[in-house]
Amino acid sequence: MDWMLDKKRPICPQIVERLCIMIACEKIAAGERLMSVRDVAVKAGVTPNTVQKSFEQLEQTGVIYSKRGSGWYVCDDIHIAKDVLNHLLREKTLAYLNDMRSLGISDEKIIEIIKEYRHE
Amino acid sequence: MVKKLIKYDFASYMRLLIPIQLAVLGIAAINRVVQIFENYDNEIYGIIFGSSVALYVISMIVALVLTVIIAIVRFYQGMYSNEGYLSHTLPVTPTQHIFSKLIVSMLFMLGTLLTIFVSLCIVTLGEMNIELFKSAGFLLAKGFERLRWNLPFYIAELLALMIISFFGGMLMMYFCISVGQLAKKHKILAAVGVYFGIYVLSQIIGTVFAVYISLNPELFETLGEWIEANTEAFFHIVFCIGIVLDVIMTGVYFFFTRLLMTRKLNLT
Amino acid sequence: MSEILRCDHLTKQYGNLYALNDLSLLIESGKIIGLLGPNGAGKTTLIKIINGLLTPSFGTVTIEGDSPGPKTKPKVSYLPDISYLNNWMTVEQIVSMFADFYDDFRPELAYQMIQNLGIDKKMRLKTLSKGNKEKVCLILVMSRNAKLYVLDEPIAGVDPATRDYIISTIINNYNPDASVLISTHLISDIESVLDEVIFIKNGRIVLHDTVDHIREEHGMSVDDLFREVFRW
Repeated sequence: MDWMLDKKRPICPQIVERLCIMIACEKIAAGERLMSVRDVAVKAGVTPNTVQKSFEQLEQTGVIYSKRGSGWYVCDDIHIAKDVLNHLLREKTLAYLNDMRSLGISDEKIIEIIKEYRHE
Repeated sequence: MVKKLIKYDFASYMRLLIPIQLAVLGIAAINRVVQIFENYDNEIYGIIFGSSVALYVISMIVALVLTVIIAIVRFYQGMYSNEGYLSHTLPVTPTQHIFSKLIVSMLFMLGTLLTIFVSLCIVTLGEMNIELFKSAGFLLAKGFERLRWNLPFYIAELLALMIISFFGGMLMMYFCISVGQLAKKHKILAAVGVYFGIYVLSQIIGTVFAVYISLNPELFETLGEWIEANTEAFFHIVFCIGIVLDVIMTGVYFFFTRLLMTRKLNLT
Repeated sequence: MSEILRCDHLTKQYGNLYALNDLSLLIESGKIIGLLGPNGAGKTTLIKIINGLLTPSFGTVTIEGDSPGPKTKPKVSYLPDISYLNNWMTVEQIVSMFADFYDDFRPELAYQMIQNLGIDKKMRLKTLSKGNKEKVCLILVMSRNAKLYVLDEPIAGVDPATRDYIISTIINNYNPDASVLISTHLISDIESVLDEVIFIKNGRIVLHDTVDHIREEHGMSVDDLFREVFRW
């Protein structure tokens, strides 16, 4: 139950995102077997149906593939997962920048602040 | 399924009734021990002896009454209290539940009667025992003398009547409880009300019957004459009518109790 | 996907009061469904009718096509919100009892879960803490291989750790041939575990939708939507 999902957004896309991030950051290596639907469901605290849908979506977009009787595996080519990660990073960074800029902080100051707090 | 139910009903009754049986046997044992110090001149002994006998008699009555009360309470609890949530979600029909509870209450009634019998043997342990059995044998012989080979039939009829009455009585209680459940509030009070209602109704029917006979003196005379001439047959007929009536009432109570449980169940 | 539970124009009347008012509902297999509504909305009434503990005034309810009765009771596993087991029995005795009466009960699974919790099977129910008692009851219900699990307020009145345990157990026992109906008013703790939610108000269904669809359409959590719908 440690995935801290946003309750205001649909669950399925969030699971897809999270898995993409894990794959893009190579927390799950290319070609490696994923946790079972049930295990992911327990870890995330969501229904197995949602996880199943997420896996199927990831299969459709070519991030993972299923081997009958064996489970789900990460595709060798992880660029799609990386695309998703990049998209998310861009979104979050832009949102952060917008927030900071609206407080009237210059871009150089922002970089300074990040350097100061990055070790906390 | 009924066997399984009986197993679990039996276990829950046992917890309540074993202490009672032990108490009766224990008091009987105390009585026997007190008898050893027999000394009717001593006032104190008289008081102790008298109290122990009274205690013993009371314990027997209490045991019998409690056996019946516990049977009724267990039915109520099992079917209509929180436990009902378990009972009615088990893959068991109401018929099976009723059978199980009836059989277990019968078993425990027999158990209590057996305990009483054993306690009597304990109280009269020694020479008195032999006296007791001699009197029983004597009674049996007298009965045989009078009734010849019909004696076993009489005993069988009597036993049948007692058993059917027991089932009928229990089912009537079950019926009263189940009807009481239909009330919105004070369901137990309603059950008691139903019980009184049935009692009053049976008294009315009995009185009407008696009045009818007393208003027809010729009928009364003819009846009297016939009874004198055919005493044995009369007793047989009375027993049989009793048994048949009980069987009918038992069936009626069973039918309606089951119906109420199936159609009108309303657990809160 | 097959039909597990169907209610057609289900009505339960108490004099002038309608506990359920022309309620129709369809639940398919493989779903975890939340039955959400304030107290007195009719959740418990509906649950009791599904389990054959109450008879409806009008309308029908069927579980896989059968009315509540001896055919459905083996298929439905019910966790009431009250204490309904004999307190004097030990955990072991209750597990045996369930194994005795229910063909689909898996005692090994139950014992495994009980052991994982560190509960001694020889303990009497009345000596268990409230949290442990709830967990044992849930374990008993989930150790059955039923078609419909009906859980009435499974997470109310327990500490957060127990709540997590209960939710994990529900997820772990998921079976695509069966469905789980969870009645609760503690929505935010449980909405992520639900496939669909049903909002029930004054004995009627006001909403029956998937969690994701609600979040997509309304841009808020189910809990937030619930507060809006049931605002005074």
